[in-house]
This record gives sequence, structure tokens and C-alpha cells, in this order.
Amino acid sequence: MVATSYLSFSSVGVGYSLCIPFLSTLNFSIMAIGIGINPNVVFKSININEKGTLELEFAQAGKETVKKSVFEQSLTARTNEDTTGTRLFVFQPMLPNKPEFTIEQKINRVAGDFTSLHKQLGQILEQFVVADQIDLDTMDVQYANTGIIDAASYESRILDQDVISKIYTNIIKRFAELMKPFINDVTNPVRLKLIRQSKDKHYATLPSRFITDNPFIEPMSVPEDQSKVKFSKWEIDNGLDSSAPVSKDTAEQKVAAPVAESNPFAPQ
Amino acid sequence: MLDFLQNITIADVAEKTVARTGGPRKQRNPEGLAIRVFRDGSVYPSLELVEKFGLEYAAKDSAVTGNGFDVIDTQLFPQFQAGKRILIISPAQKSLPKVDLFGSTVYEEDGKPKSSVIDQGSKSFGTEELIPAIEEIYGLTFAKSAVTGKEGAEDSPAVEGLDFVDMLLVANPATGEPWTAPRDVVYIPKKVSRGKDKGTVSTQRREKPEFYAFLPAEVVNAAQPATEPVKEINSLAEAREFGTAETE
Repeated sequence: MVATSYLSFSSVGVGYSLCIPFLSTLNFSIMAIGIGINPNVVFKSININEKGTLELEFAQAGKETVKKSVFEQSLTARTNEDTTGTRLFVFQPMLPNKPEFTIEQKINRVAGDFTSLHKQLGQILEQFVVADQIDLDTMDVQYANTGIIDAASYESRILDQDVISKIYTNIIKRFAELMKPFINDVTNPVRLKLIRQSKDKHYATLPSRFITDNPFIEPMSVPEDQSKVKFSKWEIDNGLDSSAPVSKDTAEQKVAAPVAESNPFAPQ
Repeated sequence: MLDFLQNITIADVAEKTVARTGGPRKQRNPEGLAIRVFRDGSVYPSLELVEKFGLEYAAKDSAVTGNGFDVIDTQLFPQFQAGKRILIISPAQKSLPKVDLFGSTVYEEDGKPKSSVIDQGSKSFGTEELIPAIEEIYGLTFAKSAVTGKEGAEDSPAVEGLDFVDMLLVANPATGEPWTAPRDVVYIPKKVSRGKDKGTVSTQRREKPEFYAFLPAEVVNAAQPATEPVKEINSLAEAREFGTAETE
């Protein structure tokens, strides 16, 4: 026999509970958040760095910091020099460096890269805010101060790298603004999937393909057995679920690779 | 007016599954904030429910889509703590994916709905999910006809039970309002109804959902106290609140 007045889901009565035991003893720790399904992740910071690149820093809530040995650190997937793997860069789209491409193909490539960016950032925002607030892809937001006001101006301006950079800046600034209330929000942790950048690069990165059907982020309030955050068959088939470092030979061949190559939106 | 809801209990009605008929089928729609679930799985809302939640189907090209309902088993939804497994129900725009009840209909060539939500009586969710859930969670038994199995299949005997159950939408007794989540974005559980993952539970994103307890009328009615409960008063403050203390 249970009275319905005992039901709780809001500030009324007993109160809503997320049923996440760690919430009573919250603390942050810098854990290795890398390739894999990472539980209890919070956005520790969202910055636009001195190079104008969006930088996402993650932390895990509720667990003690585990110091890693140098050996372990060397195995940890990363996106940049941060060996803890808690920081990701989301790079701007670049003009396709493909002389054989037609203008139309180049425009389509840039448009595709921006679509990917919108979907990635939009999926993160969807965990925290209602759809009406997510306006990254509106004309007013993304094309502000770019001179793009219609289809004709879009086609004439979009293949200018400065314009691409401005659109990217507009989008990430708005993203950072919308996410601001949720920085260090330990009451709303997420489950986050990061994949290997490619077979040759064991840096962790946000998935960018088929993410509508295979989301990379969801609230931790979703029970694990109902989770949609899983590695897809395509990711597994392509080894993107593995954080194993590249072999020494391969690594030596890649040692001079510029940072820009870790841009998931960079032309292949 | 809703004070009695403070004393609602979810009775253990497992032993009350005596055969009973729900009367002739002619009265398909219940009264009050209720949905009538028939033994064949067809579901019919009350007129009051249709009006309160905008359940009626609009023309195909209409900008207004109206609402349906998500039905949730709290066992699959640990955010909602009921203390005991119950069903809860939440209005959701028909345009959203995977709305359980009154979410879609068929249309005439001119784009008008073929039937009103009052008369539609769709069966699929009722048959596959709602009736099994009501039986399992509330211990009620719907009547079932005998089924003669095809070659090699087992026969199913007739089962005596209820012809229909009226499921009531019950708000939070403390406020008279539905329960709301502390966050705008909520993921609710959904059983996968087809494909290779059929039967597994996944989730569906909803924004600012409101939840009502979804209880059989006989469970609610059985729990109503016959007389006003006696309240013990232990302090002057309580007495004032209760209206029995003398004012200065």
C-alpha cells in the first residue's frame, strides 16, 4: 500500500531524485576521459583559446583522482598535449585543399563540415536545453557579420577562409554562451562516447558520423541498460573504439604531422 | 476537492481478479480524466480528457498537431520515485516520435482525419503494452477469449476477467498539479516495438514533460476513505493550521 502523495518528481513533497548515489558526495577529479564510453562526465570548462579554437574540458564527478604512471599516460588517448585526455579541441572547417574539386564540390564540402559541427554541438546542447533555444544554425547567429544574407551571397563568400572562420567563431561563441549555466554542473552529469580519430591516430575525438542514430552523449539519469550511447558497428569495424597506440613505425612516419591534422573537419 | 487524493493508496488487488463484466460495449468513453481500456486493447479517452489535453486529431496540413500520451512504467524510470511500481502518463505533442496513445491516425484523401480521437479506439499499444502492464502492475485480469492454436501451437483457454478498465489520470495530491521534472530535458523509457531489438528498452527525449499517476479507477476508488480521517494534533501551530485553535 503506497500513497500517491509519496510520489516525488519535483520540489514538492519528498523531492525529485536522480538516483545517482555520488551526488551526495560530489567532487571533481581529473580522470582520463578518453576513447570509450565515459560515465559521469561534466563540462569543466568551455573556452575559445588564443587560436580561436573551441576547447572542451571534461571532468568526472564523484571519483577520486587516480594518478597515472608515465607508462599509462603514454597509452592514454589524447587530442593534444594534455595527456589526461580531458580536453578536446573542436576545430574549424577548412577550405578543401583539393585542386580537382569544382566550386560546387568545395561549397558542398564546407557546408557538410558545418552541418557536422552543428550536429555535434547541437547534440551536446540537447542534453541541457530545449530545442527552441538551440539556434546555432539560424542565419542571425551563424552568418552575423559575414556578409551572407541569402543564397547568392552564401555561394559567393563561403569559399573565403576568413568567412569560414567567422562563421565558426559565431557558432562556437553561441555554443559557449548556451552551455555557460551547465559548466561544472555536477547535478547533471552525462555519459560521453569518444572515438579514436582514425586508424592511424589514437587521439580521442567526438564522433561526427551517423550521430543522430548513434548519439555520443546522454544524461547519466538514463539507466545504463537503456543507454543509446554505444559504439556503432561502423565504429567497431573501423577500429574507432580502440585506444591502442599506433605502432612505433607508424608513429615515426606521422611524427611531423601538424596539429591541424587532428581537425575532424579537415579535408581528408 | 482533491483532498481525498492525499489518502490514495495503491491497493494490492491481486486477489480481486474475480470475473466481472464491464457492461455493454455501447458506452465506450469514460467520464472524468480517464481512458477506458477494453479487453481487446482498444482505448477510448473521455471527452473531458480530449478537451483538457487537446487530443483531437487535426487536418493533415494543420499547423496545430495536438497531443497524445506517453505511458511509462516507473520500474523503467528510476527518476520518478513512487515507492511502488505504477504507471504514469505524460502528454506529448503528436508530432514527436514514439507517442504511445492517440499519436497518429489515418486520413481521408482530403487530409481530414478518418475518425475522431473519441471514436478511434486504436488497439496496438493497448494490446501489446498497456494491457500486459495493467495486469502485471495492478494485478487486474482482463477477460480473454479462447484461442485455438494452429497446427503445432498450443490452445489458449478462455480467461474470465474484466471487459474494460477505466484508467484515471491523478495529479500530485499535494498541489493538484502534475509532477514536473527539475530539468527541462528528460529521457523517458520506451520499449522497442519492432526490429531486431524488439522488446528491449530504449529512451526518448522529451522537453518539460508533466506526469500524472495512471491508476485503475477501482484502485483509486477502493482507496478512498469512507469517512474523513481523524487528524492528530500535536501542537498549537498544527491546531491553527487545522483551524481548530482559538484565534486571539
